[in-house]
Amino acid sequence: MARARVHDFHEDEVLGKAYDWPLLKRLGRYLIPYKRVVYLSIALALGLSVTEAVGPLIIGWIIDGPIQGGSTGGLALWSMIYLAVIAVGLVLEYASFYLIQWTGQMGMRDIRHEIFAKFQRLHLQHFDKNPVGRLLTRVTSDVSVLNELFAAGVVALIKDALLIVIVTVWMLWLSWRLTLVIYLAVPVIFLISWVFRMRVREAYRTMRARLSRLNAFIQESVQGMRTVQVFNREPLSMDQFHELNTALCDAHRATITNYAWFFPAIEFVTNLSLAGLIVAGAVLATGETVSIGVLVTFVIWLQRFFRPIQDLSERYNVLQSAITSSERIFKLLDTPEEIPNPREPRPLRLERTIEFRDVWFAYHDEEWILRDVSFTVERGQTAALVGATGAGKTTVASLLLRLYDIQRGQILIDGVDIREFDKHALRRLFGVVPQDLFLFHGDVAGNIRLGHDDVSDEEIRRICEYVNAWGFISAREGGLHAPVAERGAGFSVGQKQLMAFARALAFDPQVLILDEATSSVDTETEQLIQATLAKLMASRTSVVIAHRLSTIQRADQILVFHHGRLRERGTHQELLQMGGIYRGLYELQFQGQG
Amino acid sequence: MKRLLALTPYLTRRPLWLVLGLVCLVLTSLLVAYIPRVVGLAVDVFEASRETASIDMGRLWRVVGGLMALALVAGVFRFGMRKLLIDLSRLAERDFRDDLFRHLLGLSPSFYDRWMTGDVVTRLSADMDAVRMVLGPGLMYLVQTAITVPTVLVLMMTIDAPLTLVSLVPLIFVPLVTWAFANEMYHRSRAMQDQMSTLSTMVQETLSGQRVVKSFNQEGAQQTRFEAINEEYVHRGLRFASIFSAFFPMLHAVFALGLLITVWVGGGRLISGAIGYGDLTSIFLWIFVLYWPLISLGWVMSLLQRGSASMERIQELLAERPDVADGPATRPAEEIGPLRGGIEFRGLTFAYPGAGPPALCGIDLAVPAGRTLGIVGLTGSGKSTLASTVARLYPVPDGQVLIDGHDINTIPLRHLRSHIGFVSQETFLFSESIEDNIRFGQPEGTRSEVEMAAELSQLDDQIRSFPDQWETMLGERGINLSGGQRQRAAIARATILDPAILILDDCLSAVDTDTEERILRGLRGVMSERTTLIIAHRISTVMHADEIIVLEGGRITERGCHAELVALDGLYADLHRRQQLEAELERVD
Repeated sequence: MARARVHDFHEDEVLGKAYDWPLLKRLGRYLIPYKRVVYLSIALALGLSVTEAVGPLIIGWIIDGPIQGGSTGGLALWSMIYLAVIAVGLVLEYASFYLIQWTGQMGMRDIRHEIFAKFQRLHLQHFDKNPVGRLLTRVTSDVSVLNELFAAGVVALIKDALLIVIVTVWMLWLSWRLTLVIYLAVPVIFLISWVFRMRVREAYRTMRARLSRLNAFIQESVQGMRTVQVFNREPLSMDQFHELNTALCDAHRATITNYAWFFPAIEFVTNLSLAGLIVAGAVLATGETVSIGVLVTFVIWLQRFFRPIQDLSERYNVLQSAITSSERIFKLLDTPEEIPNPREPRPLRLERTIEFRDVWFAYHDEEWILRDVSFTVERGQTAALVGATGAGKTTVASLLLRLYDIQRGQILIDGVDIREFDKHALRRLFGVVPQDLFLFHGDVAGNIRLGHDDVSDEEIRRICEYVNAWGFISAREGGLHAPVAERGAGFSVGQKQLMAFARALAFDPQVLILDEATSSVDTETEQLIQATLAKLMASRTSVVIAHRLSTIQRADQILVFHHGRLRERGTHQELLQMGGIYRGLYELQFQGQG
Repeated sequence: MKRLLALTPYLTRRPLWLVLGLVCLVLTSLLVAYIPRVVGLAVDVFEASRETASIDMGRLWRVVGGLMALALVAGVFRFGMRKLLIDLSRLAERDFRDDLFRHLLGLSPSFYDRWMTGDVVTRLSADMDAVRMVLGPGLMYLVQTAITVPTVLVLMMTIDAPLTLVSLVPLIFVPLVTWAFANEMYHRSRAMQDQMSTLSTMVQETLSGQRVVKSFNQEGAQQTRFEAINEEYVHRGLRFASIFSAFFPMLHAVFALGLLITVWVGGGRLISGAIGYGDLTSIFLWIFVLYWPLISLGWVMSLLQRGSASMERIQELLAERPDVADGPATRPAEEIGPLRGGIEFRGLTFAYPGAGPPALCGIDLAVPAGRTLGIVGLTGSGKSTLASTVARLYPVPDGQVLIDGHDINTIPLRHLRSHIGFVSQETFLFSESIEDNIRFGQPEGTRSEVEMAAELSQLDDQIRSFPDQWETMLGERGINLSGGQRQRAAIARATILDPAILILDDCLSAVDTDTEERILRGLRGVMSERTTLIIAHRISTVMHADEIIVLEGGRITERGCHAELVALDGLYADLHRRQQLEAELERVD
């Protein structure tokens, strides 16, 4: 019996404490550049709470003054004053609200910049270990949670608190007995909202977990529908779906119950206080201590007074989630970067040799990918790396760029360890042509020049002509500015390889690292690639992971890798005569080719 | 808007709930509308006690008691209203979503080839949500407004008609303002979300392309690109903020204006003696009562717009029809009886739905029940297509594919597929336990059957080495199997069915040769009793088949047993030579 399990995963939603001073202080630092705006919006919010408190008071005055006195002129005057208060309130509310949103957006922008910059400095291995999806949420949803703290949390809290203080003071001044009546309800309202928020939050988390479970199931079913159908699983899938769907529905209904009692309960308590006000007012009125205007003022305040108290628990929740998110963000920002740059990098220019000296390397522990590898490439020479898949050829290229640091041995340029150079300078030395060109979303020109905006379209066109890529690029609608879809769909393998040449050349590197495409390419493009390769390699130092016979025959030395070791080296003819691994590879790959 | 009417059956499915909920709604609205009148009466008591300096306690308690009773009863009905109506909408949503998923289960592979997964999922989630908003809150608030507003108006008019008309002037704008703002806010927040997804795509791209970014020193350039996108997001965020920040102040102001007019004009009426303090208070509080229903009216209008657009998208999905299904030509399963697995292709010419040149051309081939057919060919030669016609994944012309002599189109689909064990090229496993994945097509399979199937596919030792063994979860929330392990799990999933026809579509490519040999040896014992189609790139996989065909461009170009094909010295022999050499080289160390 297959069971559809309804898991309630909370793993990514564990909530921490609601206060954590060091964390909050660090978070507050992002507001420092905008502190004037923050102060301004707080000041505006203070003004707003005054106008909010004053409105009902004016109505009370109108009733007790002009209306009771029968003065139509006074009535008009006070009404105009009230109108002015409304107008001022409108402006203040808008301005304070907008300014705080503005600050929030600016703070979030800065945090996102920082996270993104951090991503770029992280070690490659970090990306092997952490799924892209999880890293992505740091820059998206985690930051958005923080935004709520700015936008809905802090300033609103200050405003609410002030509103309560002002209204309370004023109420006390008008009638401390009626104030007492209202305050009797405060703990009740607070309790009701607290219980409500906590339950809703719990229900909400359950609901979110079930929702994502349901969506994951839908996604998986749609992707695997062929399998479902071939295995006649439709009825069972339907049952599983129904179960998940019902679980979600039940979670929603639990939330509904909470809402269903919360609003009536608040309303009932409000009405209870209203009744209390009237009774107390009537009793007091016999002694003339409470006028009708005062009573009306209290009645209107009552409608607004409980709101901030209801919201308090909500703000607590926002704070709590924000703390959790910022913890995750700061943890990422504090991750060590692992490929350290030297303090005083040596100037770099390849004059003589690139050398691997007794290099051992493993991605994990002691699973050696390269074992005791030594070779030297002279400036201007071409070295071809040959071997079966998984023999360690691509790793050699990564190590030259110092994308990873080796465990034992040394990699030297002109006899100097590459760890003594600035890593960016080191990488600038090389132009990499990968087997499968990684194309960025954008256009053709942008993908060739990458970040170098100083390379003009004209130069790019010349480079494309040089690497024989201009033909197919100019044939596209838009030419150099033809859009490139995600992952370069629409370009053939051969075309991508030619574009990769162009990208590498746009940087005019001293050394070319080339990973030749293995996939079959149509004959016409193949000829273009061959011709280009000949031109490129003739003029510069090249390290080629070679799959083409023509490339190998042109190489000054061939390095044969087998199971992580460098097993044979020499020229094509020498190695063929040796009759070892190379000969076998040759027969396998190149018979009938070239 | 008419589209939304298609949802009515989901609401009327529980008529009692609906009626009770509506009754609660009507009663709540009426009771709440009456509360201000009672407060007004209370103020009269208050005023009387001020003037006479004595208090009529009996009258006071009657009024206050009435207020409390009203509030209590209204609260109970409000609870009932929310509970019943919103529950109903959630249940309707669930039923609707169930129906939609059932519809998806019936659609053919060609549908899934055409539609993007994300698109289908959005229609079942986000669009569904928009529709649900109409069914629940939308409907509830609409009815509530429809009852509250006229009731309050009538009550107000009986007190003071001229005052009522004047104080309502600003309130008329509340639904309009809400509607306009709600729409604009929706569009601007959509623009924000769009930009957020641009931003995530960009970040995702940069993260997956880190190797390139680092190799080409692109950190700075990427940062610049990111900052531009981020800046645009901020820009859109502020565009949203500028209108969102105005929304509530506007409503507050319009509302305060209503209060102001009431006080001003009402004050005048009071001075002239047309109304009393109690009356003024009542009218005043009624303005409060009208506030929410009027806001919700505008909000519901924008919900309806969005819901209707979403409903259209959902109906597009519902309009899709399967192109492979049982039809009039289908004969009852009992008449056909259990299948033994003889397969015959009679001049099969097949093209995928939606044109394109034929993927298979004039295939004439018979595989007697219990025999094994090996299929070899380059990528795109039609191997997988041939296998998929046997499971009738795509529409097949009448009379060109026969199983045990029956035209495949006359066999009920479920009956046909219950006799087939299919291991496809792309292994798709589900986020369930390994055990449940293996008995995917045989949910009642026992542990020992699962173990046997896993043993056959050489996966049992590895499963036993996992901490959770057979309960090990796969996928997102569990472990990820290696390519070879996945393929072997898929083989176990097919063999546990004990099918008459076993189709192995290039499913050993990620398994090393030694393991492959062991799996094949095990399978051969099982294969001898059933019809098997094996597709492979490796010759070693198919060489023991009874017959082997080589496909090129959708046609059979070579056929025979291993020895015959090697002797033929064609594509097959060439592949064979290369692979032997490769194996020799691998053994060197």
